[in-house]
Amino acid sequence: MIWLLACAVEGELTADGVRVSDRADLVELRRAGSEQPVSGTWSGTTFRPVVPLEAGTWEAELRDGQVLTLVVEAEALPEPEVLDIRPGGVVPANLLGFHVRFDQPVGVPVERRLLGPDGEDAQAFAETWLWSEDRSELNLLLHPGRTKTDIPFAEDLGPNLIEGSSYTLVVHGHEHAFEVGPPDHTRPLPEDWRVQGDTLILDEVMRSDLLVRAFEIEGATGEFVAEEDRLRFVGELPEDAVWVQVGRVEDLAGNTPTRTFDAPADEALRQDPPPTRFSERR
Amino acid sequence: MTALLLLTACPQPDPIAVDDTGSAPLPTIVEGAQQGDPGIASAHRIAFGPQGWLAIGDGDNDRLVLVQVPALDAIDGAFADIDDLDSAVGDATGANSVDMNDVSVDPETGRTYLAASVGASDAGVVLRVEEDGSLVALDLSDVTYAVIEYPSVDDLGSHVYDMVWTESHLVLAVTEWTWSPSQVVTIERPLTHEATAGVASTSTYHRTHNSWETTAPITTLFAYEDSETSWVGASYQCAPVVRFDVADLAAGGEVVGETPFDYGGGRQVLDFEVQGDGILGAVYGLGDGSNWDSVAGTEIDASYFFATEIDEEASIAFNRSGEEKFDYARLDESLDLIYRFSVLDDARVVAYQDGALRVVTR
Repeated sequence: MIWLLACAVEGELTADGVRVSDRADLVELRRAGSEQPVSGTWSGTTFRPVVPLEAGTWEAELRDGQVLTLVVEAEALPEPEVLDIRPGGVVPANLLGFHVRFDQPVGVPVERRLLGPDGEDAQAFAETWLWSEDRSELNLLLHPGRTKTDIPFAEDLGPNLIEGSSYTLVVHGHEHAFEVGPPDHTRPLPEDWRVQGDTLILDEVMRSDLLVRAFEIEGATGEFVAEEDRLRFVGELPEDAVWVQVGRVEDLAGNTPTRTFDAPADEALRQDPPPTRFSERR
Repeated sequence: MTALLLLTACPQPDPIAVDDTGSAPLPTIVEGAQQGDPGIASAHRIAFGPQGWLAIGDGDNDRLVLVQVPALDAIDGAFADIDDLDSAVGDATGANSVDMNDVSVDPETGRTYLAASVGASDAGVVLRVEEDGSLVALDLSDVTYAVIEYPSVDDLGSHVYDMVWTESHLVLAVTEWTWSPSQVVTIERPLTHEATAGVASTSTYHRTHNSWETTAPITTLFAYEDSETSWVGASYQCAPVVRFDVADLAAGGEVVGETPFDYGGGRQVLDFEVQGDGILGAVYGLGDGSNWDSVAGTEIDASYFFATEIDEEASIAFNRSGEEKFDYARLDESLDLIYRFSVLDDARVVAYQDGALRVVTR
């Protein structure tokens, strides 16, 4: 009787880990029904799993045979929803990909399908998922090997998109219809860009994910909003605001002011750098 | 006396399995190694070098981290199959959401390591596979390490597509999350903590469409040494496979590679590695009809790929039906449905295959 009391072990199991009196008191932490122990690190006499325990039932086995049980409820977070997908409307036949914005960071598998004019899978995606660091934005690439000219496609594969056809992109249940226009093999022309009030007017539609990060305005407080061939600043602008390009800009086919996507790599060396500052007084 | 008696009578099971890390530094591989927490945010790719040094592509921080894993006995390399690897990694870390990133075998111990992103925070973790098929996450909070940052195009974080050790360098292929042109990072050995990484902007002559390669980035790399040259093979997103002389890459600037063959538009190499005289590949888009996006295993003769002379016109190795067109290229069904793999020895690879982790004997 005395022996049992003396060997009784105390411990506490929370999502952050297992607290015991002595490290040797913990045999293992595991998900209920699993034989795989949870790994982690010790901080004093608290064992912390690699990440805080997520939804499920967890068990901590102590050396006296006790099993502490913790049920972690799933957070009642709403299912991530697609806020918008760019581009839409009429896109170039050599479109590079889509930019998807979600209303929250996405921690669940996301389905993506591109349906062609016949309603069948257009078989156009590259196996590449480029998530933003906070996983609230996703770039989906169409296969670049099928947007470039003069590549011998693998037998009966053609280009990703057929000019004059209609497609529907489905991402996480959100349907996004668009039409396909002619391919775009020309560079954006910054010499044709101009500032009008709170808006930078461009010479063509640009990739929105890059555009909203491509400019700064000294002394301004607010944010940039990409709207087709315009970049609008929402907030307080100083008088005589100067828009300074600080990041990369590409059109929907991956053409930049210094080179076209489907052109020799040394083309940029033969071209003058574009202007990078814009103001309404230009 | 009573207390002493009770203590010795209590059962004393083995403590929970946690790696304690840190072996003697091995300056021939890494110089200026530090001890402590390198603060790894992500583990997009991992690649084992000599003497237990593991390269971790920490793209979220725009850097390479080298960690010396705990020294363990060499084993045969076999382990019990893990049928549902995502679930096993979740159980081993406390997470529900798991993205498997990479597999790498330590060539000196035969032990397999995994890289994954886990949990709501998308934490980067490295796990060791035990012979019984269980997993142990490495404790990276107190390790021997070195950090080498690479230049970033913007401040949005990057994605390390692949890494490969050569005799003279460690080579990385990196892209921005917004998808950027190829950025090939070369770091001279011995690797030095806080060294400046060299960056070669590569452009390659694209023989399949008779022009210079354009913007699609390099996504996979492999290394090959012959008697005269240290080579890196690279696959671009748009399907050509290119060879570079490592010395050219290390020199930086515009580098001209050669394209011995092409998988054809619509295909994409998910992983590459050399085994014996063959270049093994897991290639996306080699299916037909409704399974067009399936992944097929391939083998290309290294002697063809690294031949001194290559044909004027690069060939497409497989037709749309997934059949070999040339005798230097073969399909290998044992490697089908593989996402990432690592060569274990001359006959076996460790493969993340159709959701499972297993040793595949070819």
